[in-house]
Amino acid sequence: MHEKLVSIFLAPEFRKILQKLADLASPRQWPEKILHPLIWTLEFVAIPCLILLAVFGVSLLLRKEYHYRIRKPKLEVIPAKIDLFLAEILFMDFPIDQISDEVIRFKNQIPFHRNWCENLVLSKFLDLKRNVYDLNLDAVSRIYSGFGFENRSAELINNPDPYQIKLGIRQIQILELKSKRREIRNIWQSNQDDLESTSLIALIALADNNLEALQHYRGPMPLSDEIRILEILERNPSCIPNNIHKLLRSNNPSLIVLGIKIMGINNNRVSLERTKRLLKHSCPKVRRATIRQLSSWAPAYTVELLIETYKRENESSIKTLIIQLLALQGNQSSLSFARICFIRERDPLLKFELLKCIQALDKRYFESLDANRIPDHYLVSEMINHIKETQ
Amino acid sequence: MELTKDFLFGLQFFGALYAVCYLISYVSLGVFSVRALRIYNKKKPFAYNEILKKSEHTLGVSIIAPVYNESETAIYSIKSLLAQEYAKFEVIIVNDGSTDNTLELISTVFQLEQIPYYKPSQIPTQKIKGCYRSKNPAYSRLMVLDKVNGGSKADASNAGINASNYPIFICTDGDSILRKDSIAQLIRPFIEEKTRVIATGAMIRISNACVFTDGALTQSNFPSNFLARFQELEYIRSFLFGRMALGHINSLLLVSGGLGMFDKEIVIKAGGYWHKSLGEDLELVTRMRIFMHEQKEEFLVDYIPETLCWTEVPSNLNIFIRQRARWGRGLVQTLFQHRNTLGSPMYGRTGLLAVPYFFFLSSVSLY
Repeated sequence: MHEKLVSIFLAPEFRKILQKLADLASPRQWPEKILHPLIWTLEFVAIPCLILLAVFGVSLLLRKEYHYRIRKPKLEVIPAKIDLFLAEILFMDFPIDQISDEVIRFKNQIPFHRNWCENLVLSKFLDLKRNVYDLNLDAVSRIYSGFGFENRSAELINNPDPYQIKLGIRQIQILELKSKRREIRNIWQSNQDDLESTSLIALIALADNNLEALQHYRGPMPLSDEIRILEILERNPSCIPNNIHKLLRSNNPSLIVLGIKIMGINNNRVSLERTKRLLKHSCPKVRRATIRQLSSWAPAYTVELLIETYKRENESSIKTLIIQLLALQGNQSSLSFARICFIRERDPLLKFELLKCIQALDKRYFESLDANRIPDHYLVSEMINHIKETQ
Repeated sequence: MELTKDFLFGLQFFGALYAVCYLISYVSLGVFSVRALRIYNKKKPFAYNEILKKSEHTLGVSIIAPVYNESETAIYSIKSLLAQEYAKFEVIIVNDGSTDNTLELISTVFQLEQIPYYKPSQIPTQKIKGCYRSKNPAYSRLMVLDKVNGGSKADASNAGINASNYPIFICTDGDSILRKDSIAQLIRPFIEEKTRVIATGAMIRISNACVFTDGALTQSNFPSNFLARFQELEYIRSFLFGRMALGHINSLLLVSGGLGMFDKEIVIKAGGYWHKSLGEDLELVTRMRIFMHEQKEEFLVDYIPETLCWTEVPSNLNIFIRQRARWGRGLVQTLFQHRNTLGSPMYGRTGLLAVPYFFFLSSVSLY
């Protein structure tokens, strides 16, 4: 091996390659015409420039830090002042007609003319409006216009930059400016990927008993949008329309899932026929969401439907969910079903869930069970020990 | 003599060429990082962490933290994990056969009692000796597994994955402190993206000189120890220039073992952590990426440019060298293990971008 390596190393071809690389790399081989200007440029241009740049950068940073430290005590006071002012004016039953004058007086107490300060006031105002429900909308609107923000959201949503448009939509949504719904609908219909989610959520938040925007939704809906829509509807159930059933007939599985969840929030019922159809839907997410609603949609048929679905289901996670629901809502027929299934089931995860279900429905079952007669009885005994102690 | 001279010239040429490539790649990474940061900052005003804190419709997350002889730091760390602000999560602490009093200490502080344990093993691990839950309802989210030492963090993490009840899990260290909104931040790509996200990572900073109260950071200080200072800078370089940029172009191969969120289903299908690996975090993400390419499924490995985790780093030269050598060996081992992906178009960005980057820039620069 060693000799072979030495022979490669001493081979003329290898030496030639090395020589070529060396010729290329060594500045001694470079023509004078290139070498002199290169050294001159390095010596008198590149290196001094880099040093100057570094010195300039460091001084800039030091200057910034110095100014920040000088202004720090002043800056720290301003957010507290804004908080106090907004709290006083919104929560202390301030006379509505004096709000504008108070806002103008307050603007003179802070550096409102500076952009950062104006943005800070706006962001604090929006945060307050977003986090406190049932604020006096008249007072909110007077403060908003008193600070001169009224045209800001309009300017933002007409901006070509999608980020600015999103900021504008967010302001409109938080301030509940229902008059701007048409502009938001136009943005939503422009089908820009960046704006789709923000505009859809704003439309739902501003809509009165109308989920029209949802019916035209195409493609899968991200879970984040679903969570935000459900949060809006949970907080404000009056937004939930009466014709929510329409969503269940959609071709888009994401909308069906959302519809099922909204109906869950609103305690709406669905016909048995529709429920059965949803349980046979090709999308597992739809089946899973329907199974979760079964006890409120078809209380008399829950166990029967769960067992039927289990028999034709292929998804292990849905089967697990069914067994867990049977354990909660089960009766004698679900117990018999679980007993038979547990003997047949090969998947240890499902077997485990079935045992948990049996224990929940009949606490004495394992006392009379001869584990030796069950296939994989060591595993089953281990499972039973765990279940007995944890339940 | 002549030959040595030739060889040295060749080496010089290679060094120069390599340095130029290295600088160019770092400038490009810098550009990508700035872009990624801008995009992230533009998303910030639209954060909805408040909703995630209380929404029952969100995805459940299991936090898995293996501990081995960490009696000094484990309590703080567990408290920080339990203080997470998120609606659906559980904390699984895996005591990997500690020889000190880690388990006893955790048991006392969190009022644990032993319960029989069985969970079907989806990834093979060493035997579980016991399972503990707290008698105190305040710690109802906590589960502690005591297992036979498997000789690696990978084995303990796999035991935690087997025991987890939720579809997403976070893997962290027993000595790491998490920010309260870590889950809410890390989960966002999983619930926002239309493409399947298989893992997310975030920035990790050094906790050596920081002050923590009840598992939460109260004061952040620059370390006084030279080695810790060096590592602070090195971490920033690695996270800001490397991972943020690579995450932006979906070529991230490494989600740090200190803090990473994973799709459990894909991790199990890919075979879980490899317990013989010296860099199990890098190896797992590489294997998950390869698995997704082989399944011909689109996927993302995302990066959150926020410091969500603080971890203790070695302030002793010997431990530091040992840790770095292990990381280096782990990198080479992983690249060698998956050498068939290098330059292969079948593995998309993993084969054409991520693996070549780690091979030519990270592993070669080690030497």
